[in-house]
Amino acid sequence: MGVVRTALEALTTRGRSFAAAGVTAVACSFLLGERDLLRAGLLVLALPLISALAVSRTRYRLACARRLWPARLPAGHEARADLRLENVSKLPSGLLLVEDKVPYTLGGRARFVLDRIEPHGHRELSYRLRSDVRGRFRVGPLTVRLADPFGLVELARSFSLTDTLTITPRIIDLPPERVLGAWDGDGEHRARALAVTGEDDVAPREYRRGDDLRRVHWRSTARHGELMVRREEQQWQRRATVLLDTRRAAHPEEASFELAVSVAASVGVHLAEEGLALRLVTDAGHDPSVVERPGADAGGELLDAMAVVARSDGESLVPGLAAVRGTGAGRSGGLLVAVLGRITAEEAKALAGVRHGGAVALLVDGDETGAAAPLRGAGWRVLAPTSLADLPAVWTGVAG
Amino acid sequence: MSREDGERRPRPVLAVASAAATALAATSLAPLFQDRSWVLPTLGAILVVAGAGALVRRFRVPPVFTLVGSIAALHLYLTAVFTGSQALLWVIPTADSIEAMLALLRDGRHTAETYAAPLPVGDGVRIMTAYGVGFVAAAVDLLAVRLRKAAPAGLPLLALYSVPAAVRTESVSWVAFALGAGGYLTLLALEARDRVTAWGRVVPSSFGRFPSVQGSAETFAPRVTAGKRVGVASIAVAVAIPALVPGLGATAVFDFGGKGSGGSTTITTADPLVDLKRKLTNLGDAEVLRYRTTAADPDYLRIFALDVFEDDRWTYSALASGAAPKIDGGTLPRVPGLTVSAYVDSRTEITVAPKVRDMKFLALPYAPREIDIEGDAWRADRQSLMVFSTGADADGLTYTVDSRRATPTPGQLRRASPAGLGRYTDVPRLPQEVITLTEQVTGKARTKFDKAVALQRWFNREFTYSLEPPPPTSLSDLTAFLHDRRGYCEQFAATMALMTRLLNIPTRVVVGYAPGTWQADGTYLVRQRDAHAWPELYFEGAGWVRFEPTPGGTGAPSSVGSPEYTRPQTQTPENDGSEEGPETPEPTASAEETPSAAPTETAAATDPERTQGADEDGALPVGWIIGALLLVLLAGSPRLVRAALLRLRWGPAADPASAAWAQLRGDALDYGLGWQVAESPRAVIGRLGRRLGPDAAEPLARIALARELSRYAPPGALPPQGGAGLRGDTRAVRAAMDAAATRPARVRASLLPASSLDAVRRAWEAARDRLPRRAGREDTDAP
Repeated sequence: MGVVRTALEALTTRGRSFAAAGVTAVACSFLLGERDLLRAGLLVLALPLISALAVSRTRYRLACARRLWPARLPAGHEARADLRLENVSKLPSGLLLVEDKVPYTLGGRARFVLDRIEPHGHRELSYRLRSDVRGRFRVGPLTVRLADPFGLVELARSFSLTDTLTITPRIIDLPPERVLGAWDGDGEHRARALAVTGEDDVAPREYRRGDDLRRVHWRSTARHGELMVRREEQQWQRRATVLLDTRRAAHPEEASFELAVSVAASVGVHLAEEGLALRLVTDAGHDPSVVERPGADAGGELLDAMAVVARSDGESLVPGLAAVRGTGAGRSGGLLVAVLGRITAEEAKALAGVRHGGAVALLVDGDETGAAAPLRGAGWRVLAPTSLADLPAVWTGVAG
Repeated sequence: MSREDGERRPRPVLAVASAAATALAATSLAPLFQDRSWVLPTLGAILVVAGAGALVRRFRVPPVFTLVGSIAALHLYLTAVFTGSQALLWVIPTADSIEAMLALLRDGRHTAETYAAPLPVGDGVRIMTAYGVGFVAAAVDLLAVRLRKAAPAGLPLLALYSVPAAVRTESVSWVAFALGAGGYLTLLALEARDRVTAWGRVVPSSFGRFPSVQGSAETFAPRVTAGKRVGVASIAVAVAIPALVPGLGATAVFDFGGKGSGGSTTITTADPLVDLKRKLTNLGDAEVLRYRTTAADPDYLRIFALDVFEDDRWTYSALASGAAPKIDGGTLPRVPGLTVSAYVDSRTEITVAPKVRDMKFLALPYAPREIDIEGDAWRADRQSLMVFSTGADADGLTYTVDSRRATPTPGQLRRASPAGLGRYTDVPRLPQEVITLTEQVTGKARTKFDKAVALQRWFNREFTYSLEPPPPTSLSDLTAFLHDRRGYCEQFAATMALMTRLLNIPTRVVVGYAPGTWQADGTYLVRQRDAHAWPELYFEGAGWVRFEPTPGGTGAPSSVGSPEYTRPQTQTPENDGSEEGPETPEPTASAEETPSAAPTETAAATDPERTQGADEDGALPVGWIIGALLLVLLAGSPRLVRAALLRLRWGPAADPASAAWAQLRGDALDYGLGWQVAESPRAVIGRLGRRLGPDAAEPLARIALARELSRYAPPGALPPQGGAGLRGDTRAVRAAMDAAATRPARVRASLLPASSLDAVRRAWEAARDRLPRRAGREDTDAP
């Protein structure tokens, strides 16, 4: 009964009109005694009702799976969404209108019309997604409308399953290079690298559960009277901090900000691919979504962060500087890459004060003059790429 | 992309489907015409319209131009087909061709107005049909293809379908209906499919690979067949159910319960004999008609002539198959066979009683020559000279008829050769017994006329009148009649007609009225019980003459005299109205009694349709009215329950305080304000008071006080205001609730008061709790 009612409620405007016209005609036919009118009325009445019954009878269960591939891609590239609809009931389905909800910037709705799915059969649908704007987008949920062939009934059913598509900023590949060695050692000279990073590499710490016994530093153990291990993993790790200035004041124009994001992402990914552990710091402070550890994942996390980063209303760079300085990066640092927009001379001085050497400033707003001098004075490399395409050349130039 | 394309330019299949739908719907027109020569030009018109529509659609012009283009093309086409010789280059209309076309159209209209349904097909009818169907095709094309609204395209198709339904009294054949419906549903499905295709990408059922984005969406023709089952089921419902509903359609027009004979007849009636028996036993005294005549003694009044014996009964088959012309100007077709015999002309003015219902066949003396009657829907059947209407009723009408009665001499009839008219001598396979009996009875007579007279005499003498036997429905009933030798006019007429047909005399059974009773004011009064049936026999030179096998008297229920014409003389038959002897020398005997006696007797014998029509008319609506009443009752039952509760609650024995409280509870439920058993009276009125505003506060307080007094005060402490006051308070509260409620809530409270349901539930729960299982169950009810 409930099924029938659902089906009746699913009548479309056309279906309702048919039913109403049918009832009227049948009533009139009785008033007028016209068998012919009765026939026409019954036809028009029966059609939506039988359609509704047919649709409700084939209320089947559908299983749906979606795969986005890739789930993260740069703006301007295409991803593909694969849908797999499976009819898990024992009845064949009727006409299916399948609609996957896709944000407008990704190309709007993806709609498919399926004639039927046989029992235990499945259909695979796929469509492409593409966006020129970075961001994180929800794809789905999938809506399936069961329809009849006459357009009289539509029964909508929704899946709750959604997927997230991350559109990262456009990035550009930077040429693999030894240049990093200039800042951070190249792994062949570990000692030097350790020296550069400035950490007291031999300082042992207490043994904690899970530490490798081979790393026990027996001499210190003897001295401290408890198990001590070498803190070598920190020392071996090469690090880089990316500082992105997201203040609206620094990027009065959208374009400048987007370029900054792209540059930061490109450099970050490049560094991650070079094996550095990445930290992301914005003007608001340390961004924990990028976990500091070496490996390709770091680049991905940075890209995710860069996909959704937006201009902030912050006034000051201070929290960011504090984060750079405070959490160790300032002290030892590894490489510091600051992607900056328009900054004042004071801010530049403050920035220069955070770090002496081992730092690159990328000024995307083209304004080198005021800000560059204090930074250069503090041993920074100051680069001013005017476009993303420009970046590799500029970067290489630095290397050279 | 394909999507926009699909929206702009519909698939050609849609245009084809709409043309096909029109063509299929046009099949219902077939019974309107005598031959098929209308089909070709009509089909051509449909195709031309569809083609023109497709052509115009190529140019992106507003929809109205599609219509204009289609109709222009239709006109050119018909010009070429019908008036090509007058047109320029065979196509372009000239003044001459337009004139010729108008003439054809006038001619077609004339034909349609003059003839009953199967029209003789001439150019006029053809061009009219082609135009009409062409217009429908243009409308369907415009709606379904150009505007992509297939659903309303059903309206022009319905209009097409309604033409035969309106013109013919018989239902359109279900096959034609199913064809038309199928065409429409196909169109509907295709259009819906087109929409769906435009909505999204079509994924084929047999699926092997991913469709690419640019997907060849259209190449997968969507399966329209998916709707096949639903469509077929709907059509089946639409065809089957009306067939099961009695009292609708053609038969309803005549109020006979019986069957229509199939084929091409326009007007079929059920067996007019079928209800004779029932009506006869009523001995109805109701007036059917009065008439005044110039004839010295009036003739029987004929209504139906039953010329076919099939399915073991007499009926009439093909009323309109002979293209019954309108009685335009009152002149009727010539009287068949009346060439040699003398005749008497008379004029009769007949007034049908106003109470008579649905009289579609006129009661007329034979043979009507000219009729003056209101309305233009009256037609005369060439063969039987039955006069019937396809539209108006004769109820309460007065009409004048000039009739010509043949007065042949027996000699003339003896000499007549009853040749031709083969279909009037068709008989089924009759039991040998009947044949033998016929030979026995008529053995001595030499001529066919003499044989007929012998038969009539035999019936008159050997049989008795009785209403006891059932109406004959089978041949075995006829043989039973021949054994029992008891029966009434229907059996006599039917049996004698069969036997005379066996003798190869063209015969038909006529149903009508005996002449009725002579009144002091000079009119004759015909009552229901004057209904009668008799055989008419054809003798060349005299035409159809009447015989009267029904005996009068003894067993006949009517108290009045016996039938003069039947009994008296051996050769009644010499004039076709045997009873009124005066004109011929012989039937003198019958002459005297004519006016009064004859009618009364026959009255007992028969009585056809009249009053019965009214009865059956009433019957159908009654069912529906009862149904509607039940429905209303059902819908109104919650109200009724509530009203009953009210009466019960405030009954004389009731405690006003608890009554008021119960009332308050009910009202709160009605308006969806909720009710918690746990709430104290104060809590309730506090809550309600806040909802209802200050107006309700005082009455609420009084009700609560009364409640508290009745509950907690020592017995006998009466509320300050009496029961009447409390009742007034509850009314005030309800009014306040009503004012505070939303509109839907108000309607619901009035039509479907929740308190009634609540009362039922409480009663049920009380009953259940009384069962041993569990007692003392508190009811909580929040709506």
